[in-house]
Amino acid sequence: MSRKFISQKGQFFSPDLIIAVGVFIFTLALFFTSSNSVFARVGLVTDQKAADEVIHSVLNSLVFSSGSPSDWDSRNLSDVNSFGLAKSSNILDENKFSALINDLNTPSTYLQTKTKLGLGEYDFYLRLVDRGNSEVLGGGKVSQNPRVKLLYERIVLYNSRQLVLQGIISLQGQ
Amino acid sequence: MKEKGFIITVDSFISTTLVLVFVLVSFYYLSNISLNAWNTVDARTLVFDEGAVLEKSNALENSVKLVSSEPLLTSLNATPSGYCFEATVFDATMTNPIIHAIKTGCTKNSTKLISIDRAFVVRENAISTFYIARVDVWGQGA
Repeated sequence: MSRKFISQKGQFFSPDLIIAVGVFIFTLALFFTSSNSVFARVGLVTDQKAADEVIHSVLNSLVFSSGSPSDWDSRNLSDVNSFGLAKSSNILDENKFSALINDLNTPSTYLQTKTKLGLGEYDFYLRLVDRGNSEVLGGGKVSQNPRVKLLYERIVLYNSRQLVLQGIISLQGQ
Repeated sequence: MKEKGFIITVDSFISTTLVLVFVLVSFYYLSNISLNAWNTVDARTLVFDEGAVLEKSNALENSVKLVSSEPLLTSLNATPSGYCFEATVFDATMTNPIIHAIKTGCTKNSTKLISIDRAFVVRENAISTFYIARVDVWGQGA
């Protein structure tokens, strides 16, 4: 390199280098800014996808299965292997639905109930709504300031009425 | 090459540009990720539910016996908001639509339609007749 670009104190100097470093830092800053927002979005979509799979699976079990044992609603919660609400597919048993809502609404049984439902770390709120979106019966918990919150719906018959079963799954924000 | 300028060679300029374009294109596609595929799964699940509920609530049988779309319409109007449903009852040959109902407030102009067919039997005066119900769903506003 020509000697005129090197100062007397031994520091390297060049207008070209300053521009090059400026462009490099600008590109690097742009990359990190963009990557942070993109990775945050990808992370959120991944979280939503995981929650979606869980809620699909849970509501499928509730709507299609009678649970195990099939008379779980008349037993202790510790004896329940899995929950199910179906008399037959898409027709809900009123007693089982009331029993599950009662377990979800009771603080001492909420955690055990959602664990047996296969919900893991997610909070869960289950309800039946009519065509005016008014709640007929429901219970559970929705996370405060949730990072992920999803609503999943199934069409069911309850007490000979066509209603919509809504499951709300949520995950506490960090 | 001249002494001035920070681009050393044309090769490095092209490679840097290609890397930048690659990164930007990747970011563009990553930022467009959505859960639209799951909406289709939800609609498919709901149309199967509605088919089952129409049959088990006897709405299909009653509509045939009464020759009225009212039982079908009552059921379709009780489906979740955000989705449009249509039900058509055909005879066994699937050529003649007998009864038809569409959810109130919906018009069928969507190309993203999901359909199921469900067979059912109506027994009247000791005679059993075979029918097929077609239920369609699409997103409201889709």
